[in-house]
Amino acid sequence: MSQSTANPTWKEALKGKTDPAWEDEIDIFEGQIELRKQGKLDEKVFAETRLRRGAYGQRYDNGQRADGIAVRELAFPDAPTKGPDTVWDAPGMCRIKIPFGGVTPEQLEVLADCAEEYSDGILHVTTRQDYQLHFVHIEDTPDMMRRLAAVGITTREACGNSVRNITACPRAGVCHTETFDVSPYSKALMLFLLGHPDVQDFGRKMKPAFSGCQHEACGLVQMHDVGYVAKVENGKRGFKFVVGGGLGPVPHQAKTLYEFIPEEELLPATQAVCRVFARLGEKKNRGRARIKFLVAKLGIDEFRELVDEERKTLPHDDRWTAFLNDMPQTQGDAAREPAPLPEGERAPGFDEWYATNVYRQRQEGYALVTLNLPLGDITSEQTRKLVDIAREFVGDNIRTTVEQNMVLRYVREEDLPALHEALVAAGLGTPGASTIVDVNACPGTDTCKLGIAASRGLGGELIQRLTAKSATLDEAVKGLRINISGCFNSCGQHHVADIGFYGNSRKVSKRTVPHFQVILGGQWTENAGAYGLAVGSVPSKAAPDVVDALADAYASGREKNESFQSWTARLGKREVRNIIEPFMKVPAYEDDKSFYTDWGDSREFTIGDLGVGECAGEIVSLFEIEIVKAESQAFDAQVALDEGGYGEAEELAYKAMLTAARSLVRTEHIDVTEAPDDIVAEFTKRFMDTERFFDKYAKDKFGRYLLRRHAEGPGRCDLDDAKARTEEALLFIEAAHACAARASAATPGGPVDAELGEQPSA
Amino acid sequence: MNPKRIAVKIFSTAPEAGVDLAPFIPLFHRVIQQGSFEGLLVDVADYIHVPDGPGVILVGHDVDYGIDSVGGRTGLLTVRKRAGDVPLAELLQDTLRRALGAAKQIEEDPSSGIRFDFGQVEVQLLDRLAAGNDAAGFEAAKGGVESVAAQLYGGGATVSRVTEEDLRKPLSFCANANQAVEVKSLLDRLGAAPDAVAEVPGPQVPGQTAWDISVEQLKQLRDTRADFVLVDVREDHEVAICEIGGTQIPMGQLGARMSELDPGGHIVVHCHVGGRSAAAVNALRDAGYGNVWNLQGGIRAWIQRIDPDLQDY
Repeated sequence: MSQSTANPTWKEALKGKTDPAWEDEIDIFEGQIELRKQGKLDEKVFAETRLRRGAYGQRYDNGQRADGIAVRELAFPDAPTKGPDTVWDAPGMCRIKIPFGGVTPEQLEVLADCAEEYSDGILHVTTRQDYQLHFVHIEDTPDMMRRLAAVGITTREACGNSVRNITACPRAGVCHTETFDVSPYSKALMLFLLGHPDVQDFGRKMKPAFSGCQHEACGLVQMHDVGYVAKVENGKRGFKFVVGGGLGPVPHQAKTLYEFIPEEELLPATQAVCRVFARLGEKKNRGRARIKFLVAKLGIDEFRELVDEERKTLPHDDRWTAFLNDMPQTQGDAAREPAPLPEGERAPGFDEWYATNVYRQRQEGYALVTLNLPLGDITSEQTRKLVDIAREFVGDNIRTTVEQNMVLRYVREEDLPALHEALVAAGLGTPGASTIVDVNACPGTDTCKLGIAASRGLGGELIQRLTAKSATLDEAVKGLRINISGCFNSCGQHHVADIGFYGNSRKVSKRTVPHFQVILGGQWTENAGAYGLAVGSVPSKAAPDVVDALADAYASGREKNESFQSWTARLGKREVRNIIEPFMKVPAYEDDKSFYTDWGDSREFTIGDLGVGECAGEIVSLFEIEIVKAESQAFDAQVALDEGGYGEAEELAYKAMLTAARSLVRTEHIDVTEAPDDIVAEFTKRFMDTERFFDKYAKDKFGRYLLRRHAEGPGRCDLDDAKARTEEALLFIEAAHACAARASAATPGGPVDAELGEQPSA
Repeated sequence: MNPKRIAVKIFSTAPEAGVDLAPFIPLFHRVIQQGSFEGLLVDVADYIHVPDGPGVILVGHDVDYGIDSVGGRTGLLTVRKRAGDVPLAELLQDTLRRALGAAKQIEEDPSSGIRFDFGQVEVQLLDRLAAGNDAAGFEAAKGGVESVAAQLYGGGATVSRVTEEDLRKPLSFCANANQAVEVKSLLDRLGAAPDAVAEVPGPQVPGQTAWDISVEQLKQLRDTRADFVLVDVREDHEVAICEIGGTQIPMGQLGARMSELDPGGHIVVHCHVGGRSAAAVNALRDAGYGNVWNLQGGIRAWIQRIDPDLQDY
């Protein structure tokens, strides 16, 4: 290859355009990537680090793939791993957190650019209001994060054992039945918890959700780890606080922790719950590590007592109430003055679209319009068109929804015909939002390591078939909800659909056949108030016929106004099973090979591609996570030293020692501040005076590196000084590791846990 | 200018007509099985449900191939990525060679039902930092695109900018041959793949069947006078150019002449680059021949790695 010219970098181009703390975090992450490439960072620690930055694994990233004939090694270039059995160069997924689903045109433009430059030109909306990009290379992620951060989007804690995206009803603020607009509260809670010290040591993830009212589907809070329902008591705003809900293989309905907490208690009460979960939640067995298991084990009353106690010990934080005086601005005002929909001739398709995709807002003259995205997918090109449409009609008022759609809010009703025309031209005017053709599906075998069957393949097939006959469908059938998960982990939320499916497989005379378990009668309303029941497993290829049979039986057998849920309950499991029974049989391979492949995939089916999931994150102790920061600071000090920045190198080396010391202190005193005096004092008291930091031979030598530098200041900052300090920092970090290891040997389950390598058990 | 990612789109001869995308799922899976396109190929992504979307994508590590309808015009979109720090012209040559090679094979596959217009290509620079869609980016990229267009299409080629109407889109060019062209000669003009990205599947690419052997292994079998039959499934005119011995059974006659082969014997099948022989191996194994092997990379790999004196084609 011929001589290269130096390319500009996004780091330089965006310098100063981002929150400096976010800028730092991304620089540190980039440093960690470099450290991992050099083999200086453990693969498990790197895995959890990248997960907490939103960089997730993807199917086949163990470097193997069944191509329909045999399992092949994918010949990726030699490189370090990016986690256990995870090949460096294998494509990965990036999850981009969108708190309460609110996005602006400016943000969407950057998302569209990122999808084109780092992914496959598709933005995928998830069932938790995130965006996901697939097939992204790990080394592209820092630049992608910088571009997103520059428009106020973070991927931090989008994956891993942390507080995930905070969801809220997309109608919040414009809804007829809500108590008040929960969006500013969800944003305040998100900003408070992001990177908060009390949420760094969970055994598993925590998903919060907000709801504006009790009876609609709204925020689906009953299936969330923590949930908040807006409530007013004695003229005072607050929330009903629920905890311990969740889907997964064993779904739990959330329990009521507090019938009412006033708004100023929202943040501290949540912080107290986080502390209890971090302290008492299961850490070793990931299959039982979600907060729902803790709540179930203790009982809600004992759990509440613990939270009450914890709340009393929390050091006061001004942020608990500061946001109330200055409610976070969530999105812009209406872009246009309200005006009603005029009488007159409508374009073809308008009425059908209006019936399903338009919701009249509480605000007279405005409507909320849903874009029915097929399986949550929108292209970069469509996104730019959507941005133009939004700028013309609604300004900033765009949100993602948990139904894998997007909505435009504050559409002046008078503009609906023009908006419809513009959306149709962009391929975004599909009617049928929240009806039977609006199928939701998780990624499944398309890209997920845990996927068993092709949830998106089946979803695509159902959309196509049902759309083709939607004109002739019974009205009650049209209103049914279909949700599909690729496996029992229920990311497709099959438990709360009328007709839910999750992928599994069955052996049929020595061959494996993709199947879907049929789950019927879940409840979407009442905040996902009841879960459906499994009635039997059908071959993947028969699943669309099962939908037809159930729809026909319901249309003909239902009593007046009987919901699907009541109908299945009335029929009973046996009767319902009789309906699907004829579709359960798998024809012999010789008679119909099609049953032995899955939707949208011509390869003969295998479950040999299943990987180990990363949903659970890597179980790495708090110390291990935090010491990584010290290591990357020491690494940066070495770089500065090489480049002649002696003063900078000296300062970074000092910081590295402080960070390492703080990591140790935090294992027993979580509230230690970041002030150097405080860190050094605590470190001295806890680790030097007690001689716990002492090396067997060198005694207090390494600890004194920090104490001396702290007392005496930076000195001359010449080459010798900087070199010495950098060396000292590296030795200090080594000593911190050794100290943590000694501590864990003394107390099982301590900082360096022997269970580090445990795989998820469910 | 060294963009990190570029794409080349070769349009269908009827780009607005719409293409049946379903056949591309099995077609691309076969490409992975046989390693028949350049690059490290990983998986097939199905976006058929998205209107005017990326369609079906054959996702790779260093290159993606997709039957793409973004912008309302269908074509083969070849996205080159992870090439390192490479000047635009060089990267474009490499991408075009991959794109044209893949397009040619797709046309030749009867299931694809698609024909390409090789007289024009769209070049998209998917790196807004290195190549912004503005006057400066255009000036910086223009020379590189023009030089490669001239190499591909000769002096009559013209290059124009195509995404000026929306500066948020990637900077893109359309190169036109302004004359009738033939894909084979376009590929010749671009030259052979550099060593690093061998055009013929070698040991560094995924296998073509579960029963591949390398040319080195074949040589060893011969050198040790192992007891096996070599079957050449190429056509007469190909055998006339070069051959390495064995029984010739052209692919079309395999079904009828299968009985000539011993179901219990060791059989090695070869063709030009390994695609047809892979199909033959699968057919024979399906028919109960238990000891059949595919020569990975075909006679071309043999010529390149074992006997360079033979005539290549």
